[in-house]
Amino acid sequence: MTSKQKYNLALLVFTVPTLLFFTVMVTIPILQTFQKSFFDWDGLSKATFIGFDNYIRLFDDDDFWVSLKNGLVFAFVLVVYQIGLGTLLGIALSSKSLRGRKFFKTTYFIPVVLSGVVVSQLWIAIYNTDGGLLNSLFALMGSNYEQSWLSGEHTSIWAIAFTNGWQNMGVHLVLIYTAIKSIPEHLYEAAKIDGASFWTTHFKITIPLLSETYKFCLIIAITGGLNAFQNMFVMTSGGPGNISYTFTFMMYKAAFRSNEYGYGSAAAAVLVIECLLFTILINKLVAREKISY
Amino acid sequence: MKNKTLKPILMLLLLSMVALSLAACGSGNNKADNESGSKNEAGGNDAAKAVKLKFYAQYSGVEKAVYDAAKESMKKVMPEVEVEFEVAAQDDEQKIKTYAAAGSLPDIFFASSGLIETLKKSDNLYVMDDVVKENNIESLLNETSKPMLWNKDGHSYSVPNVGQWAALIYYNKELFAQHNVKAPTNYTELLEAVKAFKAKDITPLALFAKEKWPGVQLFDMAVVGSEPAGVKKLDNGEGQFSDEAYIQATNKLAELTKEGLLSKNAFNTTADDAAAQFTSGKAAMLLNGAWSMNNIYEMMGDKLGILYTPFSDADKVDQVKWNMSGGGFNQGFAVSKNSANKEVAAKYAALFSIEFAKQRVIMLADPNSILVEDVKPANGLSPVQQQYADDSVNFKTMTAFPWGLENAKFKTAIEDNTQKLLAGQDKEDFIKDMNKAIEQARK
Repeated sequence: MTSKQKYNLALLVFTVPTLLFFTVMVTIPILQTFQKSFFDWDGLSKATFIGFDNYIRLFDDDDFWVSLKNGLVFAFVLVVYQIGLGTLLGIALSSKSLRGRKFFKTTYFIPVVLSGVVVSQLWIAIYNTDGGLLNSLFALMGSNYEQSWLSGEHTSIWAIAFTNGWQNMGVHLVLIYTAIKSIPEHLYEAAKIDGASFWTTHFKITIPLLSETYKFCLIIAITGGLNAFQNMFVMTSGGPGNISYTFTFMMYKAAFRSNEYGYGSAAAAVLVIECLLFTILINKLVAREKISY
Repeated sequence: MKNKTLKPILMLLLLSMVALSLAACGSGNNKADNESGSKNEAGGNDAAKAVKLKFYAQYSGVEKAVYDAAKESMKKVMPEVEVEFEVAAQDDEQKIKTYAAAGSLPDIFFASSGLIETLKKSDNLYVMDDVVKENNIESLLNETSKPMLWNKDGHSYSVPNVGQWAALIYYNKELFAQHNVKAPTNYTELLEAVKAFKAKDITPLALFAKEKWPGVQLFDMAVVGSEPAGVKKLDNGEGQFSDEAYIQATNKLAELTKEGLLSKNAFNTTADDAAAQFTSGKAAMLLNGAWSMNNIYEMMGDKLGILYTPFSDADKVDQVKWNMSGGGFNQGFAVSKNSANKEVAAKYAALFSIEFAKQRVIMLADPNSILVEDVKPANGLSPVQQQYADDSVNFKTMTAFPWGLENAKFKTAIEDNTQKLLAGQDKEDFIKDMNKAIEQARK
C-alpha cells in the first residue's frame, strides 16, 4: 500500500462514520422537510399533494412577515452585541497591562454554561413591568420610561434578543480572544516602532487579521438569530399574539398547535434557505483570502 | 510504518466491535422481554390473563392521589390488569401526537376534544361503543353528563372523567367592600369597577395570559351574554366573526383593556402568579375554571365570591344569567386502536373513568359530579363549592374551554389574536384578522 493509499484509507475511516451520521440526522430530515412542504398534512393522516400552495399562503400570512422581521432583528442584535462587545473585551483582555484577566475571562463565560431556561427566567424578572430591575432603575433615575418590555410590540423581540446575546457573548469572546492571542507579537512591535497608537494598531492589525474568526462568528450569530426559539418559548410563548414569533416559532405553531405539518415544513424550508443564503453570502464577502503568518 | 497502517484499521475494527456489542445488548433485552412474555403466555391461568397497560395521564399534583385511589379500586374489578402511569406533558399535546405518528400510542390516554378529532381522522382511536354498552356506562352518568360520552358522529371514543366545569370570575369581597365598589352584575358595573380599582392602583383582573387559553375564555365570557354558544359556534363552522355577538364582545374587551383591566405584566403572568396577586389583595378579580375554587377558598376563606354575569348588558341579565362559558364535551380516557390489548384496555379505561370521577368527588370535593350515584366528599363542600353546586343546577347553556375546540386552526388563531386584542391591538384589526383566520380554518 502506497503512502497516498494509506492516507486515503485513514481519511475514509475517520470521515465516513461522521458523514453517515450527518446524513441520517441532518440531510435526510431536511430533504423530508422540503418534500412535506408541498403537502397538506396534519402529521398523522394521509398527506395530499398541493404543489406550491403552502408557499403561496406563507407570503399572505402576517406570521411570516413578523417572523422574518424578528429573525433579522434577532440576528442583528447578536451580531452587534456578541461580536462587537466580544471584540472590545477580547482586545481589553489581551492587554498585558490589565489586572485580573483570568477573573474577567471566567466571569464573562459563566452565562454560557447556564441553562437557557434559567437565563430566560432571570431576565423575565429583570424585565418585569411591575417592580422589575430595569423599570426600577428608570424610576430610581427619576425617569418615567417604564415599559412592558416583553409585551410591547416594539420592545419584545429586542429584549429577548438581548437576553440571548448576553448569555452567549462569552463564546464569541473566547473565539476572538484566542484569535487575537495567535497574532504574532512582532507585528505589534513593528507598529509600536512606527508610532502607531493603541486604536490604530488594533484597527490596522488586530481587526483585519481576525477576519477568518469573524467569518465563523458571523455565521453562528446570524444563523443563531434566525433560528432562535428557546428564549421566546420560555419568556413570551411567542406572544402576545405573534409579536415575538420567529420562523422556528411559526413552524412550531403550524405543526404542533394547528396540526399543519405541511405548512410548518414550508416555514422550515424557507428558514433553511434563508440560513444557507446568509452563510453563502458571508463566505463570499468575508475573509476571501486565507491569512497566513 | 506498518504500525501507522494498522492504526486506522484497528480503530475501525474497535468501533465496529463497540457498535456490535451495543446492538447485542439491545437484542439481548428484547430477547429477555420476549422470553418473559412467552413465559406469561405459557404459564398458569392467572399469568396468562395478566395484562400490563401503559396509561398516559395528568398523574401529578393534586390529581395523583385520585389516580392512585382509582387504580386501587380497579384492582378489585380487574385484578389481572397492571397499570403503569406516564405523566402527561403540558406541551400542546405534542408528545401524544408524536406517539401517534410513531405508532406507539400508550394503551390508555387522556384525550381532549381536539385530540379526539385528530386521532379519529388518522384512525388511531379505538371505538368504545361496545364497551360502553356492555358495561352500562351511560346508566352510571347523570343526565347532564350523558352527552359527553358520545361524539358528534354517534360513536364513543372516550369515557368522561370529570364534569362540565364552568369558567368563572372570582372576586375578593373584602377588597370590593373596602373600596366601596359594587360587585358587578352587568357590564356597566364591571366597567365602573375596573375604573375604580385602576384609579386605586389595584389590578382589576388577574389574568394568567402567559398561557393562551385564559384570554380566549375571557372573550368567550363576553360573547355568551349575546350568543349562548360562544366561540364554540365559530369552531363548529357556524356563524361569522362579523356577527353582532362577536363584535359586541370585541368592543367590550377593547374598552375594558383601554381602561386598564389587566396588569401590563399579564402576558408574563403564570397561573400561580395570578392566584398570588388575587389572594394577596393586589388584584380584585381572577379568571379561572371552577376547578380552582377549593384551592382559592383555602387561601381566602369567606372573602371569596363568584361573579356570574359581569359581561352581560344590564337589560339582558335575567335572560342570560345562566349562559355559562366553559364546559366539557366528549373528552376523557381513550384507548389506542393499535394497543395489543385494546379490548381489555377499553374496559379498564371505561370503568376507571367512573372510579376516577367518584374519587375526585371524595378526595377533591368536586361539586359537579358526572355520576348518578350520590357520592359524598370526605370533608364536605366549602361554602363557595356549595354555592356553585346549587347554582350549577340552573346552568342553561355551556360553551367550551379552548382545549375543547375541535378546529385546531381556529383555536390557534383565536388564541393568538385575542392576546393581541388584550395587549391593546386596534379592535378593527382584530376583527379583520379573525375573519381572515376563520376563512382559512374552514378551508
